[in-house]
Amino acid sequence: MTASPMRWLARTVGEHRRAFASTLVSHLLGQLAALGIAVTAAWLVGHAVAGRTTPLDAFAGILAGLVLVATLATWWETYVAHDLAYLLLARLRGEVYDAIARISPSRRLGRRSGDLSATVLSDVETLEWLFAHTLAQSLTAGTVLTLGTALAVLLDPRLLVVSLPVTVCVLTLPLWSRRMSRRHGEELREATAELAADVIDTVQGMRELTAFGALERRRAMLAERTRRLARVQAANAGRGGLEAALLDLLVAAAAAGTLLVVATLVRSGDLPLAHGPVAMVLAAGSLGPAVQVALLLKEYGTLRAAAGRVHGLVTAPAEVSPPSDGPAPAPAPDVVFEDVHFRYSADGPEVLRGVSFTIPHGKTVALVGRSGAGKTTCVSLLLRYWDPDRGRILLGGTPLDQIADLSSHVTVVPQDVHLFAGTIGDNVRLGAPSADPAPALARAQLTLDPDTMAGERGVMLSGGQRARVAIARALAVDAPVLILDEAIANLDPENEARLADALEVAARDRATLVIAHRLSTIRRADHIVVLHDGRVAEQGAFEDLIADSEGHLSRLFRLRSPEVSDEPGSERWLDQAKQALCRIRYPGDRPAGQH
Amino acid sequence: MIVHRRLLQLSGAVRAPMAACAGLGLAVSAAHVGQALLLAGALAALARGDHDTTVTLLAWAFAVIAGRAALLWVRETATVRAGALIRARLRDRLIERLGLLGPAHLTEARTGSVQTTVVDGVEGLDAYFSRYLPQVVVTFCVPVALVGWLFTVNAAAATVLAAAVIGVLVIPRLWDVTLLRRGRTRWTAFADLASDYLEAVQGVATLRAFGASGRLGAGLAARAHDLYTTTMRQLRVSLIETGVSAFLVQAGTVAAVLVAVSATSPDAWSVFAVLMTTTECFRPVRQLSEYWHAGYLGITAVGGLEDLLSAEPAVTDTGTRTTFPDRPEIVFDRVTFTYPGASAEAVHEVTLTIRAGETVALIGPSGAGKSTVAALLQRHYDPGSGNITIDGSLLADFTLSGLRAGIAVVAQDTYLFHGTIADNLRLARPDASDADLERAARDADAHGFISGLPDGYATVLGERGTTLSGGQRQRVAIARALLVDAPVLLLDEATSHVDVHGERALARLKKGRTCLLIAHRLSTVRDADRIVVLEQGRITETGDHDALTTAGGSYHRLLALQETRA
Repeated sequence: MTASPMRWLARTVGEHRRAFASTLVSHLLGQLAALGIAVTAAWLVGHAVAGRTTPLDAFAGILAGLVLVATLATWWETYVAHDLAYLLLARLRGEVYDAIARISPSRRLGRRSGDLSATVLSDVETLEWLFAHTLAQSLTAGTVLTLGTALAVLLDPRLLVVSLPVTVCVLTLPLWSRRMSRRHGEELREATAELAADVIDTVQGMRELTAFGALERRRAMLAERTRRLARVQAANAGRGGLEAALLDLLVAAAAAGTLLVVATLVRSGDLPLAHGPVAMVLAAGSLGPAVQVALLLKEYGTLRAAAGRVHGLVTAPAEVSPPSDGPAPAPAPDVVFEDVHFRYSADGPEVLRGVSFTIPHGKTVALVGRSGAGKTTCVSLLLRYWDPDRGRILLGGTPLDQIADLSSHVTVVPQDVHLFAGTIGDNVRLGAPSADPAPALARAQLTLDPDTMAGERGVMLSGGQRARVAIARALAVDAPVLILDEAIANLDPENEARLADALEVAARDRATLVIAHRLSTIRRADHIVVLHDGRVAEQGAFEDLIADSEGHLSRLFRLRSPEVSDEPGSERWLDQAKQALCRIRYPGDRPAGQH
Repeated sequence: MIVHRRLLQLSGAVRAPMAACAGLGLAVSAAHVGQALLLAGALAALARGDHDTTVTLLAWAFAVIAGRAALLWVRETATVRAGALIRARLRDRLIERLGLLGPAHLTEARTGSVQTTVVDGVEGLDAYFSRYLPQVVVTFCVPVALVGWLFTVNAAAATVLAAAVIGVLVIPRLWDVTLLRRGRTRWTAFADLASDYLEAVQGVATLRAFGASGRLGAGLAARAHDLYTTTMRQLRVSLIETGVSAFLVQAGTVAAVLVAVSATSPDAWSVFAVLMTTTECFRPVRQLSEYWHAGYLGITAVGGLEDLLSAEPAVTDTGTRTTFPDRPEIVFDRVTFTYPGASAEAVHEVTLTIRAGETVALIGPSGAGKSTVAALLQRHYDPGSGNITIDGSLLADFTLSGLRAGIAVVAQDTYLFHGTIADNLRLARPDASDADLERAARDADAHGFISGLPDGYATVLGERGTTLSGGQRQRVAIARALLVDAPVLLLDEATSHVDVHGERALARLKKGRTCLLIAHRLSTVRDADRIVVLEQGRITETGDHDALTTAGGSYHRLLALQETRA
């Protein structure tokens, strides 16, 4: 973080100078008119009680005018302050989204952090308070306080004996508890965000919760989260309540104390009785706006925490730098991985340790290896979610970080298909807004109407339909590089057969990278790259690799694994295994954290 | 000031704490009034030149002030406690409701919207219940009592004040209906925007891969701007109320003072009493508008709450049977079902029997209705016509939890919750020991890859790049099903990701259970006792592998296709 979040927010407000000035002026006008009403009324009362006559009609006129000014100024101030506040909120929401798009997917953090960052929206909403009710108000309170104090000094400086020290206390009270308030604020935001993320998890996992009868326990868990939040809120309220009580005590004491001073001054004859009420209003009453601000500031911690989270996101550095200018990639480009190294975090293990291979245009390369070998990392790097730590990836001779519109050159059918609420057509057009979804859907063997609703995350579609929408979405882009990550795992045989043919046609004028687990898919590739522990262990044509019985590919497909614990060697088992070997995939899961 | 009937009903459960808040609010107000009267008395004594009385009254005023400080603190604590209680009850009710509505409801609802209602809406309602409503009581009691008392002191000023008080309490009610309606519109816009954001954030990797994050961002910015416009539309109404109240408060004060001082021989006590009383009369009104601001988000959320609370569950939980039969027989008898809102039937007159301990495979192209059969067996929906029975008992005779406890599901895509892999396995059986987990994982052939994760069973999934492949997730799902140890097994396209390990694990899982296997990969189907082919919602073929192969129908065609590809 470069600057303090509060200063950053103040600067953000400063960019709307006119609206802010309007807020400030109208609020000041309203407060001054209110002070004017109080002083005039007090003056009238003082004179009436002292038995002096006053031109009531004239004063009634002045008061009526002041009432009108106070009402209109207050009304206008509330309007412009909120207008500015909600405009700023809309702007900040936009900035928060841009920031999330810039820093995601994060190489260090996972899904949870995404859910948490979505809850920053409520933080933005919290800032309404700061924009509409605190900033201009603090400045006005200072002015009213100074003016009231100055006028009181003109009447008699001794009037301030009580109110001045109290003023100092009121103004510094939020400072005393600032540290505690900040801690409470941060705990509050954290507890709220956790709760929100857990609710998201509950809603999206409702199917398994009901299937496993786990909903009761989930309820209990969320209730515990709510209780945790309540504990933090109780601590925060204990502090805030104490502050509010102290403020009330201080103000009331200032009023009563000033009255005592006035009484003494009147008794000694230094102050005319008729001026008594006015003196009281000036000395004690001008504290009012300052107290309002102090009351708002007792929630300073919450405000500060919300501002901090928003600021932290908005100023977070991007995962990859914007593309620099480079030569346009050659037409019909090859993809070249050149000694690529990558680790997820500075202290984590190296996941790719010098990976080099080429995907020639018009060819299909299968990336093969156990889980954690680095296959998915290669895909992420080719999509430029992150840049390699060392080495580079070239597309048609141009390094990826010099290609301006990478998404029109490289497209993907991801392992986890994410569809958006909206029609199937909308989803297909994601990467190519002007494309006609129908031909792409036809090539993906999906006969659904493009206007069919997909539902959030595609819940209205079956797994097979989702997979084919994802394929249509990738084909619609018409990019020269295509990545298929476990693309056809969800299909029935009929569709799978047709789709495999369609993809084969699509691959003819593309460089295609396939992450495959099924032997059939691997066998169909022109070239196979076997990754092992972040390195290319071997590569070549299927027949050549499988011919070496001690080679990596052969070993991958030999059914031998520490996990096999029962009846290996039994006849039925061997039979099954043989069948499976032909039909399904290799047993390649040796663990690893990152891939 | 909005007292919403539905919200009042919801508050029913926490009436006592709310009454306590109102009582404390009245006590605080009484202390304010006491202080005001004591100060008025002191001022009047000062005017009379009675300095001793002035000092005595001031001393009392200090005592009242100190007492009030304590009261304020107690009230704040009580308010927060009441608020916590309200939030806990309300949120729990909403979550319970979500469970009742079940997965069927959530295909239409949007996660972000539900999350906004359950989190932000409930947080907002806390202020409505614990601050706003008690203050409504104070706002009606205090000014009425004060004006009533003022009639005994200065009838003319009291009359003026009464008019202002009535105006402040009554006139803004004219806008209540509009305010509430626009507030709901605003809430809908807010919740929709939250859904859009959540969806964009969860899908951000896809958006980036397709270069669509900027375009989507522009759309979101436009929606955010719409929210701003909607909010201001609502505020414009709200501000009329604010303006009218502000005017009446100021004008009422001034008018009452003018009336008091214009009396022919103003008596000091009466004048000061009027001056102080007017301030106290309007204090609760001012405070109410502050609380209105705090509670308004919650009040507008009432629409979202209503949506959840009034939504009809797809099935009613009226069954009483809790014991699930061991190795039961499952019968679908001419079951027809159409999804709500859909025009075509999803399944038509499906009749099939799964005898005790038998495995029946359901195959067919995607969209044929296989998953609908699974949803009906789990009773996410009730059939439109026909019956589904388990050992002769209708599904509806079981309690929902009893029914679902009897059926272990391995679904096509397995949702993994935030937490460790052990937590995710224990979803099925919370009291499972570590040894149980390991045994199930070994049986599901998942122990190998789990023990290789950075922290083994304690690895938090989804963080720091720790993701599972489709096949691994499948085996976690199988391990879950093994832990449940239910008599009925439902494999809903569970074989799509399955590799050799998974296949053997599945075989172990099926042993001794009545099993409905929904599949499109035929390899796992071959060993089934019976294979049922479903096409366009209708059963077109039934028989075992050999019979269907000889028959040369759809199954034969599918099989031929698959074998040529392999």
